[in-house]
Amino acid sequence: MSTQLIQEMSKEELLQVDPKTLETQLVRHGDAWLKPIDSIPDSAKVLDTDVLLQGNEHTHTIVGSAQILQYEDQTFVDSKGAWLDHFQHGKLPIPPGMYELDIERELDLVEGTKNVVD
Amino acid sequence: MSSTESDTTQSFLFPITKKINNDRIITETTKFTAKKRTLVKSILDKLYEFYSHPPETLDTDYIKKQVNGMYSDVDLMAPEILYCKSPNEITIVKPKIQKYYTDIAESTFELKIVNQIKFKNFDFSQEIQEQLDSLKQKFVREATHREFIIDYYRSIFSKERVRGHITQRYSHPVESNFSMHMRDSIRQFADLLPGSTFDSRLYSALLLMYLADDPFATKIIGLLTSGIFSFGCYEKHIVLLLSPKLIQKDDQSRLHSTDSPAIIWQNNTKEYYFYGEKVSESLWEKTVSGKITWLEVMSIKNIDQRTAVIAVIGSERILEMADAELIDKSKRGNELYRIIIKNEDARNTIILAVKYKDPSTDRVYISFVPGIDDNRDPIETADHAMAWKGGITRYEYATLKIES
Repeated sequence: MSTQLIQEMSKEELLQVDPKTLETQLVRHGDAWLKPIDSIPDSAKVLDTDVLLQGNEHTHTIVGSAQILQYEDQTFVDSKGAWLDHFQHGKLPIPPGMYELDIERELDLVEGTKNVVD
Repeated sequence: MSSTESDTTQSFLFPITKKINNDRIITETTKFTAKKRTLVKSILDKLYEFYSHPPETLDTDYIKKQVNGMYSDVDLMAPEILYCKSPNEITIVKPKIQKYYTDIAESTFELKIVNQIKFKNFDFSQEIQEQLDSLKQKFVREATHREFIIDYYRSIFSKERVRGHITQRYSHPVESNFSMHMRDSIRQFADLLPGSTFDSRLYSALLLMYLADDPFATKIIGLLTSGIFSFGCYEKHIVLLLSPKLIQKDDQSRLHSTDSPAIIWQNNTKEYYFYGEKVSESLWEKTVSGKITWLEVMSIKNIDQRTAVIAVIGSERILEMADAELIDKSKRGNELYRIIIKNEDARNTIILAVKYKDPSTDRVYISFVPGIDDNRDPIETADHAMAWKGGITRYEYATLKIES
């Protein structure tokens, strides 16, 4: 399904689609941003977890056909069509593709740029 | 065997149908019957009632009976019961436990309590039913319900496991064990249920699945409905935290109060919350008294705490206090503000702040952003500021559709 078509869909409609039918694209899930990338480093290790990002209270969790990988301090997702789930942010599709996880950042007037803490 | 046979296990709250087809055993779960749905609803009502109005007096004999029964069920001797009137009283019981568990670091004894009372307006909806069905299917794949849960409890209470867990950095053996090993599906399901801590919410979930004939689960719930807020299990000790005297919540059932502490424990220890976010007493007082400055608000490190304080004061008021000038508003609803900070040496500092609403929670956030992005292009629009926050270009941000 093209990005153009997705942009015409309501959020409710988006939740009904099969993630496998979507094109690779940017996903924002609260403070977790999944950026499409061309490849994941060969030496990245597959993690035996479905928790993509752990907050103080709740987790961003992957449900479905996807792997979480790590290389040094970078986290990647190799999705074959899955969902990202969180108690507060709810469910979002992760279209098939490779992604790098970015944690949302902000400017601290004393410390400079830093990842948000929640 | 080539024929198809069916066998429905009726002893569980949720019956499992086993079919044997061409020598393959296929297990399927079935939907709730109306009778079981009513039963589950009544259990939940009881739990909600308890968490709203904990008992005023403590029946220690009853509590002891439940605890001893729990340990006996997993072949352990009755533990020594250590009561705490507030989470910080763990320091009083610590020496007793420490004496037994000599090989653990001190910091692991902090009884970390997740002071968040979950009260959803529980509707025994299709969603919950589907979640339970899904969970049961998962359990069926891994083992039978009973085998799974008995093994699970046994593993929690085994000497090796308990030792293993309390020597880790996790402070609450039972909770950490569940958190680490339960798949997220059950964690999320448990989050829908009532309970003072993750463990108690999880026990609610387990109760839903095992109440029909599981004596262990009913002992846990017996404990949690007799004035015990939370508990931490050790091989020879159990630490019981008494329910607080006062719990204040907002209309969405989050711990919250702008008039008084949100929690007052039995020893009068007070805890302060805004919209479910714990804040220090000094931050709470400064906020409710109106003495906090906008810069102090924006300097709160934890973005959720900051957002909760902003919610109390009002985002418009914060920006007004800062003399913030709106320089851009996007179609997505993001707003970019310019703020001039007047320094003592008369040199002004200009900073940018982006105000945005979380599309899934409707919480309003305000974050400072730099004047230039990673490519040294000036940030002049609200969406450009949001793109910087996500570590992407403004052009990539413009394509963002999958967002919550």
